[in-house]
Amino acid sequence: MRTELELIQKIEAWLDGSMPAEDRRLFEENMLRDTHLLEEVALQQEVMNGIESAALRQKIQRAGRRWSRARNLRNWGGAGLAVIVLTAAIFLLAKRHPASPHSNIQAPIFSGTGTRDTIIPTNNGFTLSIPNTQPPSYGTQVRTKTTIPLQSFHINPNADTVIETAAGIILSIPAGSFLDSGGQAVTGPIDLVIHEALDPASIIKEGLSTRSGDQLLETGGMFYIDAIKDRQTLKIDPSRSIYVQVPANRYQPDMQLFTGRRLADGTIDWQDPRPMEHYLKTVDIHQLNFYPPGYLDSVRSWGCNAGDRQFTDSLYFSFAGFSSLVAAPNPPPAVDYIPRDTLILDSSVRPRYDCNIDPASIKAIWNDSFQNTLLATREFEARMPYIHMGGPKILDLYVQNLDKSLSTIDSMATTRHISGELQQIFRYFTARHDGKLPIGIQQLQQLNQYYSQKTKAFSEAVARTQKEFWDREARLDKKYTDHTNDSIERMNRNFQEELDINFREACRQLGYVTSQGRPSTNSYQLKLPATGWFNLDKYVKKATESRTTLKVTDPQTGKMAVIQYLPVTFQPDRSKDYDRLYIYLLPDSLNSYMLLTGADGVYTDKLNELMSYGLVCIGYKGERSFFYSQARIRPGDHSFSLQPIDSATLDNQLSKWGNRSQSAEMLQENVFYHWERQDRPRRLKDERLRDLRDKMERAFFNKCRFSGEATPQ
Amino acid sequence: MNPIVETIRSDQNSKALTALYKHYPMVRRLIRTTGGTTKDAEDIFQEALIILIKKIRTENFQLTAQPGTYLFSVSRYLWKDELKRRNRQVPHDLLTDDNGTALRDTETPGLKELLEDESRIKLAEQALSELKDRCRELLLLFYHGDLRLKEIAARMGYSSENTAKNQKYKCLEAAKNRLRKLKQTLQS
Repeated sequence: MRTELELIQKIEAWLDGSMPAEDRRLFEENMLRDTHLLEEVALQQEVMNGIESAALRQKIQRAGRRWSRARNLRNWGGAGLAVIVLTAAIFLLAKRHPASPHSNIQAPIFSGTGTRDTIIPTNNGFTLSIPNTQPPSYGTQVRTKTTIPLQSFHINPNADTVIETAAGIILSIPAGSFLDSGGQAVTGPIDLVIHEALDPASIIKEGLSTRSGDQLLETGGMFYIDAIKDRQTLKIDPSRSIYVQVPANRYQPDMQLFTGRRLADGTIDWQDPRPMEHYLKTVDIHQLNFYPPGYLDSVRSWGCNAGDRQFTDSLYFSFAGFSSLVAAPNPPPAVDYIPRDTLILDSSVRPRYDCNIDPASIKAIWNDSFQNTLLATREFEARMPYIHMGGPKILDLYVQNLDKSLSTIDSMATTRHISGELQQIFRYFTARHDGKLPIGIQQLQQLNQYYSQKTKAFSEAVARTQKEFWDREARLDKKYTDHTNDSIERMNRNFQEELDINFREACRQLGYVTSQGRPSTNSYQLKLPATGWFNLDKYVKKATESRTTLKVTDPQTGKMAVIQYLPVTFQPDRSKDYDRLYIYLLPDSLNSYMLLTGADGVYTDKLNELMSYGLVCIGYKGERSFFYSQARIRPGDHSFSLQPIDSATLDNQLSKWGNRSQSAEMLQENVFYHWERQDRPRRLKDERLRDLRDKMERAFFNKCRFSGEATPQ
Repeated sequence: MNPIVETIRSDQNSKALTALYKHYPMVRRLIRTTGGTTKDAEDIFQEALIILIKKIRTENFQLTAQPGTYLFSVSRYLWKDELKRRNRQVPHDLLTDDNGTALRDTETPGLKELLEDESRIKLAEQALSELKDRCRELLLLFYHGDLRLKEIAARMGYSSENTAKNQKYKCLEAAKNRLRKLKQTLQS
């Protein structure tokens, strides 16, 4: 081993005490002579402390995670957790196959196409194909002979109907879509016959060709629909076209819709190709979901009612303006050292505008003003989760270009502000060739203005309301915080007073003169020799801090000072029956009481022999109070029972006990207890609210998942 | 003695730590209402926990307050300090008590000294954090992982216990060198 490493090994042996006594002595002698060695030892000790601290930090972080998990489990129940796990799994899958959740093609069907077919005049057959440049490699004529069973649906044509076929074609049929031979909308039930051949096996089995003129087509699947009433074939009303979604394993943007035409020899020729774009249909904007992805699931998993639109809106929109208010974590620099005085905390203020869409913007578009625009379409809704991931600039792009086709805006999005996986997704959207909706210049300008003004106004209004609410709550909370501060102050005061008493007594016993009391903490180290005041003060301070008996001998005079601390225990009867139990010790020489801490009904402390102590014990059970008191407490074990007491008598008793400031403090404490009890529902409600806001913040306003700027905690 | 103190002294840390987390919401409230984020609250509370645990581990220390009160008081102190460090105005609430009198910095006896030690230890922790992941993991496992040398060697993929041990000394050396450099940067 290298000598440097050997030295490190040696230092370690010395530090952990595993060095043999003889070596130890030698090592220590060396240390006294060799300042370099001393420095090395000190440095190594510091590194070891650092390791201990880092290990502890790791454990604490783990405990924190355990705690919040346990808490969440309590709050949500096991079912909620399962939902979260599921959502995560689905999200992963969706990420891996970005195209899969959206790979349905919407192809409109036109009426009357069947009339071109001479053999079966009412045939409504289509194939989704693209021209294939390869020369035909197999027979172009296949006899049509149905081997795949027809699917028949009995539907009411006067109601909106959605049906799904065995192979997964979804037809959405508006009411009144079907016309009889006279051009009138039919009434009464009809039969819808569907014939589908989506995969190659079915296509071959069905004996369908994929020929268009002398070209062979690559098919995305074929289907045939026919509507029959009273043995009459019906037509489709051109103004009420049926929407069809054909499932696809792989989305091909160049797919076109061909209409089948039966030739005299029985084969089908596919004609009249039409690109499948430009067709957007608006829906009621309130039926759409513009929330961030996973929002409703999360709300449900938090045990809230996700079906209550008023609630989900108010929760989400309450974060309007949030981006401008709150700081985001900033990772600490990895290499460059920044000097800090005490703490290394990795946070600095950075607005989150570039990551999260302000809910105010969503509020501004999700209303009647944007009905009948590009935004009120299922197609836009499908983009919304990714727009949330892409951030406000992407959203602006869509809102400000309502006159362009969706696919144009998609393509603009891919070239701006986004990269990586998200860019892929927007490329995919571009390829869908989703079209546009008519909009006037004036309307466009009005809407743009509306969007920016509403976003701002709403964001400000919500931020103001939020601030007012939380400021009000903070004022109420302050009483509570102040109380904790008071307790800390009281303990501190007690400590200082007791320290003074002990110090004076120790000095008296040692024969020092102490007219001015304890030397001030700022000056004694400089003014006095290390053997005198300094040591005494340290000893007294240590004994007072740990409440252990002080025993100190002056090396010069041989005089000894002893101040005893003797243990005392209190065990009130049936302590578990009380909501709260307070045991006060009232030292005659101090201005404040001491509040004892207990466990399992046993309250312990130590009594300073220089003081005399009174005992006051108050128990609370709902509205009722119980009381016990005793003067001149001796060290040792004490058991007692509390007696019921009404509030006037309790006040009376409390004012009798202890010195004036002690009884005033106890009375105050009693008042605080009752206030705190009444105020508890408010604080619990706030706590739940803060929890919810915290969860929201973490889930939806804390990271830029796709841009890789921040990592989930 | 407080059961939490006993649990920590008997080294059943994880249980006690999880129990201590029940005081976190109060600290979070304090920090969120005085201009901090949830992340700040987590950091501060973690720091306060570290201080409490270390203090409990030192012999002769008797917790004179409820653990919750102690954690709150330390957290408040740390937060005030952190706000000063960020050059942000320290909210009135954090500085004064009810009567408007300024609170002393050392509200808990011995806290100031403890924090001075802490800042030195923090520097050592920073030195560790700048080591290679593998090195840091080895050191943490070795000294605080409750594992045998053999298990550590197997887990970290070292061929023998001796290699693991040797590697550990090299990592210690790297940590010392890093810390030395940090200290020099601080002084210059």
